[in-house]
Amino acid sequence: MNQTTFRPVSLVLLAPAAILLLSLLALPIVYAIYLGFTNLQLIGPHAVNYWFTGLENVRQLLSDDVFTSSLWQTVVFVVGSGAFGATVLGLALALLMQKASGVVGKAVSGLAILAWNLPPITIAVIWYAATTSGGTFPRILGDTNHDLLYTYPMLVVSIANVWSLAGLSMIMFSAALRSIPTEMVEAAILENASATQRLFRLTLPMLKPTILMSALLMTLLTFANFTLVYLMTGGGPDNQTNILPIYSYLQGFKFHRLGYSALLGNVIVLLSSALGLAFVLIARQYRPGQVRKNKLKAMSA
Amino acid sequence: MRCFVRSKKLAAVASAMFASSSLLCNFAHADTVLKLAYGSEYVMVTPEITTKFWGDIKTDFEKSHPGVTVQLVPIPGGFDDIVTKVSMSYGNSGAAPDVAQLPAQEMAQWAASGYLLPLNPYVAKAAWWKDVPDAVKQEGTTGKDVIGISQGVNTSGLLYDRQIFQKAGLPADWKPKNWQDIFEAARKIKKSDPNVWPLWAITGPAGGTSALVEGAANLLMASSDPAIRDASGKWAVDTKGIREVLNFYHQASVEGLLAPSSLILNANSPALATPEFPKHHIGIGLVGNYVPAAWSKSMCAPCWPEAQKFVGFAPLPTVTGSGVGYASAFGGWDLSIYKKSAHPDLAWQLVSLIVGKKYLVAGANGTGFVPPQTAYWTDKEYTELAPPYQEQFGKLLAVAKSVPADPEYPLWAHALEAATEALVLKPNMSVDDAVRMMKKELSNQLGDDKLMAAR
Repeated sequence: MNQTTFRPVSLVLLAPAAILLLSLLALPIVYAIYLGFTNLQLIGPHAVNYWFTGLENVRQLLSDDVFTSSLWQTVVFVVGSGAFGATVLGLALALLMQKASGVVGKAVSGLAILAWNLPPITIAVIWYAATTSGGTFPRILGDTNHDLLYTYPMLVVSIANVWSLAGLSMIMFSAALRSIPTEMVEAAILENASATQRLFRLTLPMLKPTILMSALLMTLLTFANFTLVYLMTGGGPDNQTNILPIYSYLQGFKFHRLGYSALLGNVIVLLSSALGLAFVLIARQYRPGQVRKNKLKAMSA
Repeated sequence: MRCFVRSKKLAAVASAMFASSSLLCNFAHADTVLKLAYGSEYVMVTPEITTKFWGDIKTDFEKSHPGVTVQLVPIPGGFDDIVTKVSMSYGNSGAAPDVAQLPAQEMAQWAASGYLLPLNPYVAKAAWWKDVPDAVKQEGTTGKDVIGISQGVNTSGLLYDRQIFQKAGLPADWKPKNWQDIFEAARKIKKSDPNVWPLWAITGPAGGTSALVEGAANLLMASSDPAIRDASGKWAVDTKGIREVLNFYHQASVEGLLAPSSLILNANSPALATPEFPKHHIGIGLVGNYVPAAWSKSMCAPCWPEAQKFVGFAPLPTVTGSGVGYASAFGGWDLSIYKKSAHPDLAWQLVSLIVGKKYLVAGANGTGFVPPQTAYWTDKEYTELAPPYQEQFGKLLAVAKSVPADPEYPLWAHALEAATEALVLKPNMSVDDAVRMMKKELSNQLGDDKLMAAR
């Protein structure tokens, strides 16, 4: 805020927004944090008469093996399929589309964007049907009765997530690729740089900010992708896809322990906040124009 | 009812009109609304049957109680959705239903929350209460309080496909004496036709507690030690009965006898055998009574008029054929009254209408329930829906046992379902590992002091 233009009346004008933020965002968050330290149940003896139980839920969380494995599965799912999988597939598609003929390029782009636009229930049904007995993939692999989803649950839900997010990632990379100056590519070709050298020495370094942005955005979107995993596996089989949002839901609505579920929710909020903060910091550090200037400076030097 | 008489003059007018008191009272009754909540998609076989069944109840009750409006509150979604939505309604007294259709195995939890009205004074005066089997009464009782009146229950037994049996050289009137007989038949089916699923036995936590009552709980009731909880309230983990159940799934999994995991471990597994039998995909199925009922002409979900020709019934034998020789678990849906209902007597009258003969049998036939009153097990209106299955499954209720009405039951159920699921998915896993897995989950959730010692 600029001190010279600050007027007390601006506080009044800001008040409605502040009140809304406080009542609709801050208070519910504080209340949810409080619930994480209570024995509240959805149904049962503590559904009405519940109370603050101090660190009891935290003690249980620290000794809960399912939470530990859930945390690990969340990392695998979020980093593997979100940060890495969706970004790499989006980048690959964008690079290939550069070389593809107009019609093919547009058709593939259109399909990838369509996949990104599909609602999670449709994506879940498509991948469930394709990977369980009698589905497309078991037939291709020659064993119609093989339930791939139940044999490799984390792999299959990760692929479904990558498939659904790659379209968005591809759009980001396609835009970034178009912004690479053609004179630099032409100069590299004149210097007899091979396609691989051009990719690793020129294109990818120029795309670094977009790669980071895409990785973080995909991570955040994957973190929030409760619906896809829950509809495909419900966290199973054998807790193998029990990512934190699902474990929190199961504790709250299957085991009716809303207090413990709220604590798991608090952990999710902490992790999401850390990722969001990283997203904002990296976005500030790599403003596209600034990076390009820095790169050009470094190259000319 | 509140009739306000503010002045003598008005009283005179009122008494003149009250030659016709009913008119005045009906007018005053116009404010009386009874909320009736029920599962609109999960419980009955088709949405059309559901709409007609509850619509008829509303019409009948409003006709016999002028001025009272029954507000229907249909709850869409599956088993867990119904539990969640009813729980949230009970949390808000303005939205709470006066009468609700609730899954019996979860009812103790609402009672523990103080949401349900004890019905003891009402049932004491109900003539039909003596016809309800003790096990069914127990299912709707927590402590000494009767908290639910059964609308119907599901029992489970074995259905087998005679066409598949003939190909495997098995008899058309198969009568397994113990679990070994079941495995031997399943092996012959596998050998004769590798494309059919020899054994259908659902499990897995995705299907919620209802998948347990339609699956592994039946095996536990047929085991050497069917205890789920002992007298001191401790939960069974390492008992002979649980080991026998785990071994059933282990052996079936190792020998590749089970139907695909995506079906028997599915969130909707209790409903999935119904369309597979007519396709002759299942050799032997441990299924609920609603499966053959769904093939009947009136339900047609799917229609299979020649089912009787192809599908035989056998009760689930006990593990070694001991005792009465067969067993079944049962679970059903009850009607409960909200503790803070403004009209508990009217609510009871509504419950009484729903569990009267007309709607009890219609509800059983529209849902695939066994009626919970002994008088109706042989009633033609019930038996002729899907002969001979209705009567065969109905008779199982005489020996069937319910699961405990306890707030901790869903945790125990989840642990057993998760352990059996692991055995289905990992044939290399041992029964000891599965017991350890179950014990670990229950120790985590309930604490060691809540678990029974190994026996």
